[in-house]
Amino acid sequence: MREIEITVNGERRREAVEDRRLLLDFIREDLCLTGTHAGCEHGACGACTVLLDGQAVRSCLMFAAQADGSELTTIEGVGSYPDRLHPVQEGFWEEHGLQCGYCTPGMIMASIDLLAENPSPSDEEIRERLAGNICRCTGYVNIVRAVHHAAAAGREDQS
Amino acid sequence: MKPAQFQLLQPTTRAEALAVLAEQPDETVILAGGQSLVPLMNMRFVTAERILDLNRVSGLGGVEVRGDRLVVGAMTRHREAELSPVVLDACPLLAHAERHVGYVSIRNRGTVGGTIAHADTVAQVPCVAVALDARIVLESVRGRRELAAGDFFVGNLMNAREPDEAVTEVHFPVRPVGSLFGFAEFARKVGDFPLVTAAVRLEQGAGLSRSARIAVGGAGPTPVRLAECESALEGRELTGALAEEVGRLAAESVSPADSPFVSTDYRRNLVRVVVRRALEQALDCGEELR
Ligand SMILES: Cc1cc2nc3c(=O)[nH]c(=O)nc-3n(C[C@H](O)[C@H](O)[C@H](O)COP(=O)(O)OP(=O)(O)OC[C@H]3O[C@@H](n4cnc5c(N)ncnc54)[C@H](O)[C@@H]3O)c2cc1C
Ligand code: FES
Ligand code: FES
Repeated sequence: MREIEITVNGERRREAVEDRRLLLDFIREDLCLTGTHAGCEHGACGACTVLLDGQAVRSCLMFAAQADGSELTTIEGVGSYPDRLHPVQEGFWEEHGLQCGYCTPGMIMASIDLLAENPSPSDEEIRERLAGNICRCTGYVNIVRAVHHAAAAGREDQS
Repeated sequence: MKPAQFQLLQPTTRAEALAVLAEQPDETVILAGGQSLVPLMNMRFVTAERILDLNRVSGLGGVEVRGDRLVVGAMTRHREAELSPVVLDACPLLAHAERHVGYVSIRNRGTVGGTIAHADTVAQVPCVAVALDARIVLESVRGRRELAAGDFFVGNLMNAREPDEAVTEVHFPVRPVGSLFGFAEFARKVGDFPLVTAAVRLEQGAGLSRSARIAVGGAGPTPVRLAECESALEGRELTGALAEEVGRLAAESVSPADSPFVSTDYRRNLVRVVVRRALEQALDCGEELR
């Protein structure tokens, strides 16, 4: 076991972890933040996407010890129901961008990462960026709409 | 889907990292971006007593031009190689190929040194490395040596590294002025591993091609240069018809293995298509130069 210190959703946390502890399991089982979902656990589905020092990464492909000293944002740090939803969460709500919700936290983190870089993405850019996040329910059409909805809200905020 | 126990070693200098590796080379596995290794560990296809994490070692990342070479540090992330103005200017073929590597979240962590060491025959960067005759720099406590990409890749997922060596740099030749380039792949879906890749670079003299380089990946155990296609381009003007002709020649000159999902004939046909498309891209960048 080793001690690590991570800023999680703005809060400093010190925890003891085993070397082999995946960042994903650390988030879910040690921090009890179960909004980050475990899908395939080998990098294929994107359900476990989080922001590490502001960049989208797959938490199933890193060890918690490697995140020592970093800033981590999970879906819990993005916004909350009912009155503090993030614009991307609003978008998914308004456009029915989810059904079972399994892929949703990962979709939202990847969408936030996209919009931070490109505030007005085209359909194609959204599809390309979210191609690494698998959804078994929606057929993706409403997810693309949800991201457009969030992008439009962001543009309104700017003006 | 949890990795077996191991000890994580996180040195901060190159000398320390090489010393750690030299202590027990056969029991130590190097961890770079983890985008290929960690899936294998989670599935327990790879178990190791010691994991040597290069992420905290200073001076292993970053890109710079030294003379006629673009020097890419092993820990340079794919995303940096894709977006860096230095790479785009000195070796645009690499920057273009990087756009096809997995997804952004994979490219944020995966590294140039990692994909070279992993030596997957369908990986984009190794195909570019073979096409351009990139040099792979290997370091150990015993010293430093350089291998040509064509000698480094010895089979699918196999390389010529000794157990106590780490890949520390990859050197790509700086693009000769006015040269044309193209990269094409066929993947079932954006970001998926491709079935085949093709990388080309042509130097130009009086509108005719000289020193053509063409490599394809996925058509054998390692990416390979296609000598016949290269000579077919020599001294001729690149046109759509020539691109088509060279694509056909490429398909004839490879003999990919049959697999349950991708037959030899299908893969050969894909080789024809990607070589043609890579050459068409080269043609387009020629149009821009005019
Ligand atoms: C969903 C998904 C999609 C992907 N799609 C693609 C794709 O389309 N194309 C593609 O090319 N790749 C793809 N990848 C893999 C990705 O590009 C990896 O980044 C790359 O293959 C390995 O780089 P890494 O830095 O992650 O290495 P790691 O996973 O850390 O290591 C890979 C191997 O190389 C060894 N190694 C790493 N660095 C060194 C070094 N400096 N010296 C010696 N040995 C070293 C390790 O011991 C290990 O055996 C994908 C991965 C995922 C999860
Ligand atoms: S759980 Fe991490 S990518 Fe599927
Ligand atoms: S909403 Fe069910 S997997 Fe996407």
